Amino acid sequence: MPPRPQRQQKAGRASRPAPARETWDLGQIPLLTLVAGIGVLVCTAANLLERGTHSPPTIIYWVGLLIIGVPIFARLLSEKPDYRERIGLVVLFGLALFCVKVAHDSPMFIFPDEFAHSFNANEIVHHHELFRFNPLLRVTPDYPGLEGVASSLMSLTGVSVFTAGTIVIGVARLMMMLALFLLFARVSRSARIAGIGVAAFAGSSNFLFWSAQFSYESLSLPLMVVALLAFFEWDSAEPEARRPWSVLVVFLLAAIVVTHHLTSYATIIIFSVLSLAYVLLRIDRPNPWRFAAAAAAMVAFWLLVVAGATKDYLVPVLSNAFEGAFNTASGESNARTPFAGSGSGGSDIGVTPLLPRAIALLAVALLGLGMLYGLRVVWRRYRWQPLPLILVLGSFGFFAALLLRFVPSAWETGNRAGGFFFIGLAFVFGHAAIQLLRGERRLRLRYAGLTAALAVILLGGAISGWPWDSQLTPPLRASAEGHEISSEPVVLAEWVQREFPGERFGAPEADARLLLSPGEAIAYAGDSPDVKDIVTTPTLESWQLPLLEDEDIRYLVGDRRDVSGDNVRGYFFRVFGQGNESLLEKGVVDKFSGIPVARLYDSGRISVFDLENRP
Amino acid sequence: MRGHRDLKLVLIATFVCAVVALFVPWEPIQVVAAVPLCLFLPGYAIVSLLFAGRELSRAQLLVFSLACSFAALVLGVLLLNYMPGGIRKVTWAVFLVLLICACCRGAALRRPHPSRRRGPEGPRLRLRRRDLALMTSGLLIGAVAIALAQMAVPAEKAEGFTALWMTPAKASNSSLRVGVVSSEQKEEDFALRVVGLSERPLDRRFRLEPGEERVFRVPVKAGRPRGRVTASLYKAAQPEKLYRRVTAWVEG
Repeated sequence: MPPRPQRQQKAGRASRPAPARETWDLGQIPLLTLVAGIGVLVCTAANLLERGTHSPPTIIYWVGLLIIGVPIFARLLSEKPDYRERIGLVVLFGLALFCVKVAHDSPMFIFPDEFAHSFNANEIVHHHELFRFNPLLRVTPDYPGLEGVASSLMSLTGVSVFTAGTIVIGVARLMMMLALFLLFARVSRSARIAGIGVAAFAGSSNFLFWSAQFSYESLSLPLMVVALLAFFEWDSAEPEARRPWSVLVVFLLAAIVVTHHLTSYATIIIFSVLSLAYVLLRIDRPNPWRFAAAAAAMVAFWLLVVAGATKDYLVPVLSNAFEGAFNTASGESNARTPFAGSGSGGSDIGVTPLLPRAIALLAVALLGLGMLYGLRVVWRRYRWQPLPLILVLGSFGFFAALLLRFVPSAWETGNRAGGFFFIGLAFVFGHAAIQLLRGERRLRLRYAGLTAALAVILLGGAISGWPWDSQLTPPLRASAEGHEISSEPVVLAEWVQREFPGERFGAPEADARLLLSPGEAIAYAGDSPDVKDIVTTPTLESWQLPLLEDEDIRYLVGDRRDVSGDNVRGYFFRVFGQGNESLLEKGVVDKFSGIPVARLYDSGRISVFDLENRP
Repeated sequence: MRGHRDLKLVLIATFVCAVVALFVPWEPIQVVAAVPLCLFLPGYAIVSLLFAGRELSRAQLLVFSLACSFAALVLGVLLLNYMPGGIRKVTWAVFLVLLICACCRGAALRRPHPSRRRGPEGPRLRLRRRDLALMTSGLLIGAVAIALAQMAVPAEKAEGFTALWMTPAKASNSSLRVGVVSSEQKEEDFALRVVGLSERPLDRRFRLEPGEERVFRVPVKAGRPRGRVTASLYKAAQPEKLYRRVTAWVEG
């Protein structure tokens, strides 16, 4: 029910806990917990149907997301909930969506980066030290923050990396929702704006899956938001009370530097721009340049002493992105067509259907309208306040990053950057929503419209955040006559874990990831060294065996599955009629038999060769 | 810690959690103890030390406690990496207990006056039976959903397969191990033939249920010259058609 006009005055005010000892109740949190539980169950059911090869319509999964989101959006838009209830609602919302991700990938991590980080965590636990080599993502061991946290739980309890990682990322998600709410509430002085802003943040294409995977950014981004919250408290505190806040900010910056490269650079940029804003706006409070300097010093130290390889990892990605953006803008190269995807191994996955495409585009349009509408309010309220201005810049940055989605070599960079910028956009959107609810005419319609807009934004983020054909998980394990069976690459990985842990393998992308974790082997894939061509060419070229010898790769995985090069789709059972049946030429496997070398493993499409076992 | 009830509780919780995580041999109970020990108590102690003179709201206390716990673990793992013993169960437990004790002690010394209060004052939560029932139901449904997601379900259209493998035995080189793993949708009969180890091939017939693995140890005669060994697998229903083959060069 929309509020009556005479109660509008209260709307938007943060009702902070009163000093007197009074009672409070949970409002609608209990009921919405039940509803969110049902939503998670519906999403799980959709995933189970997909795993059962029944090809359920993805709309079941969307309905599950809407069951979670819509009642919470409606409640957050209302002026009735108090400060505590809003906190409870955003936490409930964040954790329910995290449960959707857990249900998506149970019973093991299946997002591409999760294998590399799982491998690092296992290496720490097994070898009792950091900075061990990771053949797939070589920069990741140099940023051991996330794996260090997971290793504490794994070492103390003996749980698997999946259990420890899920707990760690779940708690990080809880921290993110709380910190974002508190930041928005402190800056805007409105719990209602904060709640709506956090709800809108879930519409970021990275929120549902990418930022919930067991990967370093899933921890560093929440830490960055907490650091910004601590900075705001430092800025607002009396001079004599600033010291603990500054210690806290630096402590958190140090943790970010050790956890993730891009987030630490983003933090330097944010604090540098803040420092500049303090100068330009002539703010008579202490300039935060010291935080920018502290972050820069720590990043420089980390790069010089530990993570020198970061340059080799990031520079090609970023320079390709810039070059690609320039070429696309100047017409020298063709623009990428969003929603017309191909798998990471080059396999064609077709065009995203019209309805999801329309929802994703509508979500962007609604966010754009929200930004335009909110900018006026934000500018009026905050034009002399640096942190809100940074958030506004972020909202512009989000739409700039969207343009990168049209650049073939830069769309992923744009997608990653969008996750950071969306924080600012969510803040502006919260103001737009409250502004829209200020009027007295057609208030009920405005509430309904805004709830629907948030629902579209949530679905749009989910659709554009992950390939449309992989929103639900195909079977990785299945039940057959009361027993459990596993997919072909998973059986291979389990065999390698038992027979050849720690040995060096060359393999296609998807197989290599499983060989890392759970296989616990040193598995190479991709272009450096050029294992990709070795496992995909049907004939044995003269350079291939010497390269494998130089890299000390003794075991080679030959895989005829076309999806073996696809790090999103290459882990699952072959399912008739679902497009993952096509095979590479026989030569990709047979060329090794002809050398001849030992074939130690044969599961039909996948074979393992021992290059040192010869006549 | 006299008068600082919250710090006293943190210390008691720390010791209990550490002992349970270290010595109770049941994983779920260990996890219940280790999660607060790693992800909340260190941060609470650090925040108490930093903000000894002022009170934070409960939400602030929670979010900064979580963040400081993460930061303590992230930086702590670096410290442990260079300590004797490295990153192990015991070193983690010792590090966390020492960190929490030191921060609590520092917080107690820095707090101006011992307080008998439990923590930041705020309104008391009024929890009705209906609310409790609804929340419990919601959490139970969520837990059931996650539990269901862990289960393997029948996938009739998924194509089953069987893998054949061969490796030298781990303990010595005097035998080979040949294994067959079934990931078929139904029970299947197989015939295995290993040639090259002696004049007569080794033949085995067996039945595998879905998910079952059978491993055969095949002796290699000492002093046998290096030669090719081939294991071939046939489905009993199609004995003339080779189904899988592995091969290696073996010497006694």
